[in-house]
Amino acid sequence: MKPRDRILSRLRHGRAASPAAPYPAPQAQATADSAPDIDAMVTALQAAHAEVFRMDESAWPDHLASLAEQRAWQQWWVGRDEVASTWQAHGSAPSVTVFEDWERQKSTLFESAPIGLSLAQGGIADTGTLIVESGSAVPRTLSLVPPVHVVVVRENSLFPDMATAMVHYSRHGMPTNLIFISGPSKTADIQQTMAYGAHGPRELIVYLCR
Amino acid sequence: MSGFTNHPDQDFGVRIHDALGDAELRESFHGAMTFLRDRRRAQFPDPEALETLRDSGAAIRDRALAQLPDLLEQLEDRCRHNGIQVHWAETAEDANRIITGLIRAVNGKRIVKGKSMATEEIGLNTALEAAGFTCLESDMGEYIVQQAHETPSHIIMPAIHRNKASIARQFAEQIPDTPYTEDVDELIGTGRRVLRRAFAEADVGISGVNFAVAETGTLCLVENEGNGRMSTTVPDTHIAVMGLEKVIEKLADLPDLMRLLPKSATGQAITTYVNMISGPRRDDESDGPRQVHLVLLDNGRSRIYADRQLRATLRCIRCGACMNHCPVYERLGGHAYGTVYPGPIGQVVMPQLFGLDHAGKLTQACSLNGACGEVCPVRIPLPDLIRRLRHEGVSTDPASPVRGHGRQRRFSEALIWRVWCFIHTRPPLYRLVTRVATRARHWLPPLPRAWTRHRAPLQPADRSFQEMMRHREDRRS
Repeated sequence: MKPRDRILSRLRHGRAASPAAPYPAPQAQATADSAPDIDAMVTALQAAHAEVFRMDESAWPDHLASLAEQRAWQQWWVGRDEVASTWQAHGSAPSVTVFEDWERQKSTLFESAPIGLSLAQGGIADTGTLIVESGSAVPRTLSLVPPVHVVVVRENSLFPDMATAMVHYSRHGMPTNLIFISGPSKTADIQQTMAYGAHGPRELIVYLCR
Repeated sequence: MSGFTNHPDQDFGVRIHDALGDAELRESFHGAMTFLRDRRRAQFPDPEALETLRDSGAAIRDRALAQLPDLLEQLEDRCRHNGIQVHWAETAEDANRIITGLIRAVNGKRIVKGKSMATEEIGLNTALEAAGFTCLESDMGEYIVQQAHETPSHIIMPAIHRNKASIARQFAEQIPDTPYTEDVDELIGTGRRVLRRAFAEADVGISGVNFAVAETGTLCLVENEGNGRMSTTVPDTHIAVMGLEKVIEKLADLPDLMRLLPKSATGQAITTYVNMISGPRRDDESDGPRQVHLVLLDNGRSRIYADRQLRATLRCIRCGACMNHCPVYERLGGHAYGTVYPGPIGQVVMPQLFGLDHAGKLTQACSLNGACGEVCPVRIPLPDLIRRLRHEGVSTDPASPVRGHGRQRRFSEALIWRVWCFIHTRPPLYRLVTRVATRARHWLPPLPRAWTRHRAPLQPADRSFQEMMRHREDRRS
């Protein structure tokens, strides 16, 4: 017998030898059928040390251009999503690198990519979470490797809570990598002192767009 | 069976004595445990809602365990369908052999690892070293601990026993071009710098799994730092190692478990990252691993599963709340246990994995105060299980399901209880013995030093309780 079959047979035998009724489930609570609480999303993201800006979708590029000027942000790394093409076409003529060839660009991404800019496919309002799906348009590492991550997310793509988000993915299937992001990377591993930018971005800038 | 070479029972007393005498260690743990308890409490303001949520957590985990073999088959099937290769390991040695083989097959040279208790349990780092590989721990706490040739002292916060001054000294001594600083941001920055290079160059990434969803063939990892995402995204090969009990039925089970795990563990509403992996990079994707492997680890779990009461051990979601609330753990710290899993859950898991002959003494390091059972997010009856294992430790029943049962039995202790039982089941004899003991109390032999070293010596009262009560009633009438 193979290890797999031996393990499964031990489990089946053990279950048959001492059957037990599972712990009873509590009465199902009414699932949140309400609209996503945008204010809660903003509060949760800010509490997690993210910067949040709310505006109409047409306004973020101009706002980001002035923010970039204030903070002397110059070099942008993008994928091939709508946000990337909007930003590349912006009047401030930002210097943009399209991240598309992992083998060729990987070491540059790690060594000298200061800012990643991408669109989040959705969000979860009550926990202040951005949902990023892997796919052909956006590399997974764009939201992870650059020290600053700027994300655009549309209010109409938000779920009220994780339960509704899971219903969606159960129905429509999972991408190869589904990532929930709820703030900049952080750690409290040294004497319970919170430090940001442990391995991922130090700063998370969120444009919450109508 | 692990990176810990000795059996936990060996020198347990010595380690306890040393830990209690280490003022710096006790201060570290007292501070950290108070911090974690306060943060958890703040996350659960409504006690009624918390109890309902714990019911739900227990029910989800129990439902999964009730279908465990079927869910594992479904998980394997869905994973294969998604392009994740599944391997089954009966023992720690099997798991290490499988992982070493996978690394050799892709000609792996540089290996990074995200925090994983399952790989600590099988002693993977030691096995990889023996096979000629070095595996760099990438969680900040694990990195600090590995660099100092230590083991984690807490399952969520591995370097909790260290203060920033000692970490500052370590970094300045061991990492080139690193000046001494106690600034935590700078220390983390140093770790980030070293580990980034390692991520960029790694060809194999190893991780654990928090939950595996059978419905979709999804591996779910929670973390704050991003090292887990790095380890599972950047290297060409990702190997995930998971105890086979971590499977859950469906995506809809995740939200309640996610409401329990980070809040119970570190007092966070949600971790920075929830990383759900359902396959390697597709052809149209520009990054992500080309191969994803899942190693399903038994290592004694199927034996635990076979006992109706002990099966609850497998509900555990490894949050660490039981140790954070354990008065014994708070005073000893994690290393004194000498086990991969310390604290109450360790006192229940380790004797079942190692056998009561080698880890049975662990169950004695408990005052049965019940705090662990009251905070467990999936309602594992930890105090009951500790009591059960104490019983199995001295049980002579040949049908006992726990390995090494009866091996904690001592002739002298058994004799004392036999005598105690003989006296207490014979009322006239009991009255005689208590009468003699109270009258002769000044001439009784002294108690053993094990008792009197830290406590006042005990002496019987001048009258037995029964006598006092009788006297009281006589006076009333």
